[in-house]
Amino acid sequence: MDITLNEQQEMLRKSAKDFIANRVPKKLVRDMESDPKGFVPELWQEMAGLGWMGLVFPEKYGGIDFSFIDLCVVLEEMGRGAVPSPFFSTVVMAGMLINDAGTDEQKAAYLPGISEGKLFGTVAMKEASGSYNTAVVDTKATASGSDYVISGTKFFIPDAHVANIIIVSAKTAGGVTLFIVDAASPGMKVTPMSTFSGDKQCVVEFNNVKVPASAILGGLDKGVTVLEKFLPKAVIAKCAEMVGGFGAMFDMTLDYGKTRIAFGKPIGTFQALQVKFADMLADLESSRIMTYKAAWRITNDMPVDRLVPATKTWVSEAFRRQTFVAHQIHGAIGFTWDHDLQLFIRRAKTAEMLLGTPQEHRERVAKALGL
Amino acid sequence: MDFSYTPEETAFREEFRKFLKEIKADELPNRAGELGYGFGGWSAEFCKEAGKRGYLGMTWPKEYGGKGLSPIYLVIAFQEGATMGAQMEGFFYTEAVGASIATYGSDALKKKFLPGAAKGEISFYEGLSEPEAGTDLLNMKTKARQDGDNWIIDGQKVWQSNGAFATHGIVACITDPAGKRGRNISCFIADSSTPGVTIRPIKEMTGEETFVEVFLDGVKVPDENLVGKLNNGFAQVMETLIWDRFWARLQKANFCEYVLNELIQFAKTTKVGGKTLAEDPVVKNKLAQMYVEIEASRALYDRAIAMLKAGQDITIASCMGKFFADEMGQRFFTSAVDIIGIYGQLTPKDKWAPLKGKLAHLYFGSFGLSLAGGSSEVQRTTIAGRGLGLAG
Repeated sequence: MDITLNEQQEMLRKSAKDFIANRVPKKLVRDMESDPKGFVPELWQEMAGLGWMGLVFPEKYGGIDFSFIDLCVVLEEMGRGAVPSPFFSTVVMAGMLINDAGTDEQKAAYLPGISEGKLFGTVAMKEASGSYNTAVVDTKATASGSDYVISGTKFFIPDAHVANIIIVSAKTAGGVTLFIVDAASPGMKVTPMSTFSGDKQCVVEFNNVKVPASAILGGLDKGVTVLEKFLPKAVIAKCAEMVGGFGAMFDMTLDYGKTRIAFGKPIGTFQALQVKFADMLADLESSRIMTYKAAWRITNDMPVDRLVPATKTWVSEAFRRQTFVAHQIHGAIGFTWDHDLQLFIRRAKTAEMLLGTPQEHRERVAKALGL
Repeated sequence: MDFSYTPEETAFREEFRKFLKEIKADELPNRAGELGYGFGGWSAEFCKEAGKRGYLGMTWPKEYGGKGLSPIYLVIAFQEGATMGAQMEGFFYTEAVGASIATYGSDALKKKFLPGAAKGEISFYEGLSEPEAGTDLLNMKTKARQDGDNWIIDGQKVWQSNGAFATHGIVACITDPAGKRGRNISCFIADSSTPGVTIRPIKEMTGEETFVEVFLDGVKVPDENLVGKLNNGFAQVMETLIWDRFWARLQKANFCEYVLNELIQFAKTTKVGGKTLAEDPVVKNKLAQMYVEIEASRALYDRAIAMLKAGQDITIASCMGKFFADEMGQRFFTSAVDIIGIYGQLTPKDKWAPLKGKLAHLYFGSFGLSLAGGSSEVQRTTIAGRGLGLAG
């Protein structure tokens, strides 16, 4: 039993923390919410220079072959800094999915570009229903000679507006199949949606988009299996991001509790607030440990069918629950747009909905429990 | 980052699990049932069996009947016990008071009590709380005055878990009535068979008699039974609170999972209106949430266990684990009783009672646990004050 980061992870954490503190001020975070692109390309290149894009990819594809836990360490810091970037969609979703399920040719075609920060990608699973169920797919891919023709509409697709490749799930004759689609293909239309966190989620329409059979990722009709094997990683990566945001919110609130004076005392020393702080810390620490425990289990190929949905449920609900408390402790100042607290309050709610709501994950827990 | 146990620890886990199965540790007779800690009810048989196999006092020094093992082995024993519902309460208190003796006791005191305790022949209750000294423990009134080579104890203790079965107790007494608050308390080991000791069970709202009150009227205790330094008892007691905060709660997740598995079986096999309870989305949702919270509770103790292993101070981590586990348990057993519906009222004596009637008992028991061993409020203010620098 050892819950500490190793030396390499500590270095990674510090470098990420320092970089974000210096290069990603909260003004930038706010500005990017209304920026059509949503991120700064120069910063993206600097992040690539730090090795983040290829962190978990094999060296032969331009990566540095670090572990999934190492990636979570970086994601925690990105969450702490509310870093606006298509990192999650490109690296965690598209990149890791190709690395997990792709052929050597596919890996060689896409991973070096991602590692260098030159290629952007995303994964398009959800449709109009908004369901997290990977089998709920109406988009169709019809065989046409040696090609497939894809038609359908995907919703809530992160960063599709800048993606060069979009991995789409579509119904094929014998199930669901994943295809790696060039976003510049004729027949594609990407429309950003308006979300309260200002992150870029898009509607992606496929109108008879033709792709070669070589675009199939993970095997014909194997889409659900491939996604179900992959998604625990994405979910825990999202939890790591949330833990970072939760930690930032906790630190900010504790600092306020120690420095804001009322009735001649720091407000955090009043018992009514002491109690809130203790609860917030327990929610934060349980969230952090559950997340890293799941990450550790994933890294070591251990079963996570119960722990991962339980972790997403717990972490996202604990973080969201405590946003109310953090806001209450901050008092009215926390209600203003200018205060940084709201950045985390909005992102907590977004993260709760992404990659499966708590209710959808409770259903997965129940299934894993044999119910 | 490594959430695994060492191969030696894992081998011990297997061995201990086998031992529990062999002696049917969940079915041993016990005077009062599990309140919900996860260490079961009081069973003298369990202590004897554990003593025979050398599982009692594993962390104590070899020269006093122990094995000098790392505390992680004791962690594993409690986890495994809770996983199968073993009756380990006597074992728990022998370990708790034995640890005080091993840590603070004189060589003579260790020789006098530890080897017998390690064999399961000597057992202990904890005599701390009094009618007017609960959370404010320093307000205790029980006094000990020196009389030649003896101390004479007069007073009353209350809320001793299964004190009726213990051969001895550790009793905290005021030994310097004029002394400074907190610097005037000493701890003694008192033999329950000494004249002047009266032990009276307390009937609780569970309908059982799990706790006792201990009356001490002119109870003579030899000088050598002083634990640690004279008038330093309170500092010792504060340190040993780790037994309530850590050792008595680390197994809560395992225990609730054990109950959850029984509930899942119940839900799968119980039909209402032609459908099993397991098919009811509301029931499924409740059971899933119960599991989610078990994992959160386990995570807080994973953290404390890792810190213990690293030799760090686990006070704050344990305060967090304790209040969380106790309140998780209250939610857990509320949901559990909800799921079995109107049958939730039935006691173990009723042949129609699902899960042997244990749920109602655990539901009422859970009220007591957020007080036992330190209230949730004390845990929270300790976390805020000492852990976060928010002392008032």
